[in-house]
Order: sequence, then structure tokens, then C-alpha cells
Amino acid sequence: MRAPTARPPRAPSSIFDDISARPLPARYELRLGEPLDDLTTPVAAACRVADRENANLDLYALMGDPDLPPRGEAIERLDGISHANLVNQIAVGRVAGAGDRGLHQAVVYERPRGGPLARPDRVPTLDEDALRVLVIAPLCAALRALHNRGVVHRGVRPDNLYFLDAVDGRVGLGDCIIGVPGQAQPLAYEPIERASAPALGRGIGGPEADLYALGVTVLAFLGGAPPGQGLDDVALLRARLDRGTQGALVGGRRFSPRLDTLVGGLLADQIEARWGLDNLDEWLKGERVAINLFLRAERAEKPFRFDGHDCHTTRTVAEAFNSNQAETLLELRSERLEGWLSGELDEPDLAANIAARRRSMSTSRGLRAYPPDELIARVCIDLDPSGPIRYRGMTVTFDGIGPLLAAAVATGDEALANTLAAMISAGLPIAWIEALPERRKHLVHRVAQYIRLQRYLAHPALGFGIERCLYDLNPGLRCFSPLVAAARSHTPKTLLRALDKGEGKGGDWIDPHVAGFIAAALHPKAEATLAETPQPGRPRSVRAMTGLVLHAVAQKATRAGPLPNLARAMREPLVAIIKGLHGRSRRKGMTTALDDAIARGDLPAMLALLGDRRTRTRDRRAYADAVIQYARLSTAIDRVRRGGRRRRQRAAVIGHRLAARIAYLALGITVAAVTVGYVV
Amino acid sequence: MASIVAAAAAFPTFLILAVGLMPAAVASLIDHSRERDLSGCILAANLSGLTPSLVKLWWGGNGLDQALALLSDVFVWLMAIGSAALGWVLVFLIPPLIEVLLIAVANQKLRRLRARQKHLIEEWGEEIAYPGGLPESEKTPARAPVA
Repeated sequence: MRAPTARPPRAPSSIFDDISARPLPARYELRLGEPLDDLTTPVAAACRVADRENANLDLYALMGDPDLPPRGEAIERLDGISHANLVNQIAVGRVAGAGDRGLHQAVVYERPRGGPLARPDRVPTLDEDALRVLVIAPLCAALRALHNRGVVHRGVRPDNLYFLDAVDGRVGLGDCIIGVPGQAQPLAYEPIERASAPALGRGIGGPEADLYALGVTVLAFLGGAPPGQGLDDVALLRARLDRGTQGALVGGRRFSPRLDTLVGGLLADQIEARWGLDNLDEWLKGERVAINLFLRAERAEKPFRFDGHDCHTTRTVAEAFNSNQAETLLELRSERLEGWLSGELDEPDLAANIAARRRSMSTSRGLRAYPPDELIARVCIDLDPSGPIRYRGMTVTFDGIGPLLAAAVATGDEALANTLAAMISAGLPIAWIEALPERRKHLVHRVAQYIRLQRYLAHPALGFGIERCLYDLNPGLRCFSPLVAAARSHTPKTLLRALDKGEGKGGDWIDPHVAGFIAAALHPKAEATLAETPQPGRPRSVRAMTGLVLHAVAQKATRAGPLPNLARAMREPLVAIIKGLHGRSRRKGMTTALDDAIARGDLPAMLALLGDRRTRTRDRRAYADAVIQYARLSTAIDRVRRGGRRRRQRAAVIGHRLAARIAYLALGITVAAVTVGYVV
Repeated sequence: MASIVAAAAAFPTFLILAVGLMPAAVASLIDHSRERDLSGCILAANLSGLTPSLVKLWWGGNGLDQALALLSDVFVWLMAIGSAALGWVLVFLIPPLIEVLLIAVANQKLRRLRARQKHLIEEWGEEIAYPGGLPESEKTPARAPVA
């Protein structure tokens, strides 16, 4: 009965064609002054839309928060979808909203003729037949269409169901594109393995999350009220942890045997026991479908008492441990937990794991390997491997890390951002993946990604650090740099052009966000180029060189066209790099070539000029040769200056030799002359 | 017998040479160099002065009385000693001239070497003269930016 594993979200297919960055076609005019309250969702405002090319269509749009990552994979996979049980999607794209918060992700839908089935606080009561016809069958069909396309909806709830047709009463499932997965869901509609995470950190999950939400939706219509009404989120979560979801939401209520089976199957806390769409199909056909009693096996008769709470499941223990780190450390030094796991839950392997962790605490090597907060987090993963990651009192699902980090950065919550960064550095996402064999198999690429993110956090230079992690985990998220207007920061191309237009505040052209954004969008090319490019010595020059690499790679990859103003803004620090070369004529030649490239706005040419390792090597070698040559010349000069005595000696030798030669010549001439004189 | 005849025939020449080459003999005594150019010069010069007398002797019959007559002629002495003196003039005059020439050559080489050093400094900067770093006294204001 295990629900199929959903495909993880993919990055945009190409930086040239990021579907989530496309503008909304101009024919759709959003009437922001005409809001539609009955269609507004907890995460998106609804407004009327006019189609300039077809005035007969009754359309509306939902606009999302520009500071949150788009559901790029949903946008791509649902492009062109048309289904009888889904609100008819007309267009998706970015639009400008009021103020300068960037471009909002917007979806245009055909307006449902009959309006919503329910309100967030008011749910009509439906009997079993009406439930089957109006809710279960349509939702089953809609979810199958979505899941077949690899999309998990994560927004199944009563107020997201609509009468698409006022005449035939056809019901359709509403929007799933706007907002972060699970963000709009009340706590009761989130499966227990995600419910303890904050709204922005619940992650996309798999089809099992939709089936669970469907079960709670059924419960809502059966009871005529949102389940868990009257309890705040903390109390509701506590109740679900203590008594199980079914115990907390259903309580003592009984329904027909068939509905009991349906609710029990869909609300199962254990993912393996939860019904899938096939089980639901069988139920709809009237077949008998069993509930897996396996879900009852992991609850202990005798609770584990900790911090004033009675914990009957390992999940509850994990929650309790995360809430009180100090007490947990003391508890872990005893063997009480291991005894409870072995004796009450028959989990000897888990007990052995905990024992190993306890023993590691008593050695300095163990403490160095895992600091206390990390140790507690790993114990929590051991106790609840299908649950979220719990760290320093914070909870987040594996696939909710990215959106939660985006929200933390957008709102300036440095504490949360730093906690998430520390969690990644500690390797906890990797530990979570490795906690279950199934995940190890399917998420091997995410292990590689998180190893990379650990490296980025350990190397907080431009293009790395927490900013790089932010954009790596959230493809399609706009750049949060304060250098440019939010509306022009959604793609590397628009960002470059904005910087070229001089929109960079204070004339600056690079900062950690710009660098991280570009490096993430152009991974792995940007990193490979950074690794190949020789770095100058001084920090300011390193910053300039890194900025040039990233902008040049982006200009080439996005075909952004000439960027002469941006190039000119880089001139001063780049000339300083050229000054680091030794040879004057080489410096002059490079400066001239740099100015040529700047005039053309050709950043790749500038990079080729300054990033050529061979130039620096040749310059260094030539300088070394020149130093040697200069020293040799100095020695030669010294020798000449000090050679007076030797010169005199040499002059004497040469002089005497010459004198002798002259005398010999004179002798020869004399002999010849005298002899001739006498003969003649 | 032939050797006695040869010795008797060579004696007048020997006499002229023995007496006339005394300046060369003195030069030979004071020349300690390996090349022996000084003594060679004085010898050649001395011989140059004696050559007319020797030829006159040989042309006149190579007799002993002729040799003695030549030895008592003051002009013969004048030529022999005068030519040796010219030899000494050469020995004393030429080396300083050579030294002047060598100094000029050395200066020319110095100029050339310094010009090459200057070119190296223009190309690579003053640091090239101080690979371990410029001393404070040698530091000049920063180079003007390359235009």
C-alpha cells in the first residue's frame, strides 16, 4: 500500500527558457482593483482578468509572493493541461504588482461558474453518496491526472474545490501552482511527517501527502466543519502525536464501515500503510480494501516520560527531544531510552544505534565528530526517519529547506538562515537521506548536491556561501540583491542588463547575492571557470576577478548582448589587477586590449585577457629572467669598475709586445736598407 | 781546423756584437717577464743600430783591425746606444697609450651595460634591482597609471 515516490522538482530546463520567468502574455490584463474574495486563497490574492482578445471569457488570476520560489516543475509539467476535474488553467507568467517587490508569479484561470464548495471556516455537511460524487471521485481523477504528470498538488482541502459548471455540478480541484507546497494548508491537512514543520518548510513530498489531505477533506465534509477546529496548531499537533492523527481528528466518531475504512486508510500516519490512488479506485468501485494494521505496531503501551510529556511513539520522543535540547543531552547519557525502545517497542536495532550515539558522547573524538546539537538531531532522525529534520528546536522537511531559507532571507531572519546553514554544514540533510535505504537509492543526486552545499558554506567567498545555497536550492527564485530593482532580478539576463543600465546602487556591480544567483543559475560552468581562472593576491582584486568571471560567463550563456556600461564600471579594479604584472610593455598592451573590450562591452573577451594563466606565467618567468640578467649586468659593471690594476698590467704586456714588434720591424727594415745600399 | 778558421773569421763580428749589444744585455738582465718582450725590443733596437757597422765590417773584409777601428768610431757607439735608447722609449711610451685605449674601451662597455640595466628598470621597475624588496631609501612615489 506504499504510495509511489514523487519525482523531485527539476531545475528549469534551460537558463534561456526558464518557464517560471516568462512574462504573462500581454493580452491578459489583471484588474488589481477588482479583487475576488471568494476565489482568494491563503497565499494568493485573486482578481478579475480581462482578455483583450476575447472579451467573452470570464477569467481570474491568482498572484503569488515574488519573494518565494516558484513551483517551476509544476508550471512546466502542467503547461497546456486540460482536465474535467481541474480548474481550467489559461496562462501562467510573471506580472508586475504594486510597489517594487519584483514580478509576481501569476496564473490565469477560467472562473468556476458555481464558486467554491466550501469556505476556510465553513464546510457543508455531505452524506456518503454526495461525498463520493462531489468530492472523492473528482479528486481521485484530478490527482491521478496530476500524479501521472509528476506533479504533487499539496493544496487539497475543501475551500480549494470548485463547482466548475453551475448546471451539471462538475467539481474541480483548484490551484496548486502559486505558493510554496503545503504553505496554504491548515495543520490538520498536513500529514504527520510534515505537520511539525512551519508552513514554508513543509516541502513538496509525494502523492501520499495529497491522499492524506483528501482523507482530511472527506472528514471535513462528513463532519461539516474543518477537523481540529477549536484547537490551536500547537495543541492539535500535540494531540496528533499523542493519539495518532485518526485518534486526534476522528476521535470517537463512527461512520459507516465503508467510510471508516476510507478514513482509516487515508489518514494512516505511517506512509507505508497509507492508501494510494489504486486503493481509492477499488473503494470507489465498491471493492473491499483493507487497512494495514501495521500502523498500530509502533505505539508503546507504556510511555516514555520526558520533560513532562508521555511519549508513546518514537516520533513523539523526537519532537520532545527537539524541544528541550539541554534535558535531551542529560537523557542521552542514561540508558533509559534504549531500554524503552527494546522493551516496549521491540526495536533492538534502534536501541543499539542510540547506545552507540550515547557511547560516542563520552569520548573526545565523538564530541569532536558530533557536537551536542548535531548529535541530538541525528538521534531524532534515528527515532523518526520518515519525519522532518529537527535541529536546535527548529523543524523542517528535507524538501522544505530551500523555501524556508528563501523566506528567512527575504524577511531578514538571520537567526533562522544561520540555523539552516549550520544544519546543512553539519550534514544533516545527507544523514536524513541515508536513514532509509529507499531514499539512498532515489536521492543520490541530492546527496551530491548537499555535499556541494557544504563546500560552499565552508568557503564563504563571492559566488559561494549561504547566498549560493539559497539560489541552488531554489531554482527560479529572484535575486535578493539590493543592487537592482526587484522587478529586474528574476533571470541572469535581466540582472545583467539592469546593471548595465546603471541601476546598480552606488555604482556597484557585484555583491554576494548577485554572485550566488549567477553562479547557481550557471552551475557548473561558473564554478569550473572560477577554478580555471588564476586569482590575484589582494582581496579587492579577487572580488573584481570573481565578479568578472561570473558576469562574463552569464553574458555568454544568456546572450545578453554588449554591456559596455557594466564593463566600464569594472575597469578600475581590473586595471589594478593588470598593474600586478611586472612587465611595463605587457601592462600597457593589456590595458589597451582591456579598453578595447570595454568599449565593445565584451566581458568574455575581458575575462580571456585577464584570466589567461599563461600570461601571468610568462610574466613571472620573464621577470625572474630579468632579475638574473640585471644581477649579471651589475656583476659585469662591478668587474669593469674594479679592473684598473688588471688593465694596467694588461696594458704593460700589450705595450711591451707591441714595442717589441715595432723594434723587430725596424730591425728588418734597417737590415734590408743597409744591405741594398751596399749592393747597389 | 775549419772550426779554428771559422772562429778566427767570426771573431771580429763577435767583438762588435759583444761590445755593441751591451745595452741589450742589460735589458735582458732586468726583464723578468715570461714573454721577454722588453728585452726583445731593446735587442732588436740595439741590433738595428749595429747593423750598418756590421755590414761595413763584412763588406770591408771582416778583419780584426777594421773591427777595432769601428769600435773606436764614436758614431758607431752613438748609433748602437741611440737605437737602444729608442727601444727604451718605445717600451716606456707604448704601454700608457695602450692603457688609455683600454680605459676608453672599458668606459664604453660600462655605458653599454648601464644602458641595458636602465632598459630593464624601465620595463620591470626598480624592484628588479632589489629582489628581496625595495629598501625605504630607494622607494619612489607610485608609478602614474598607464594611460
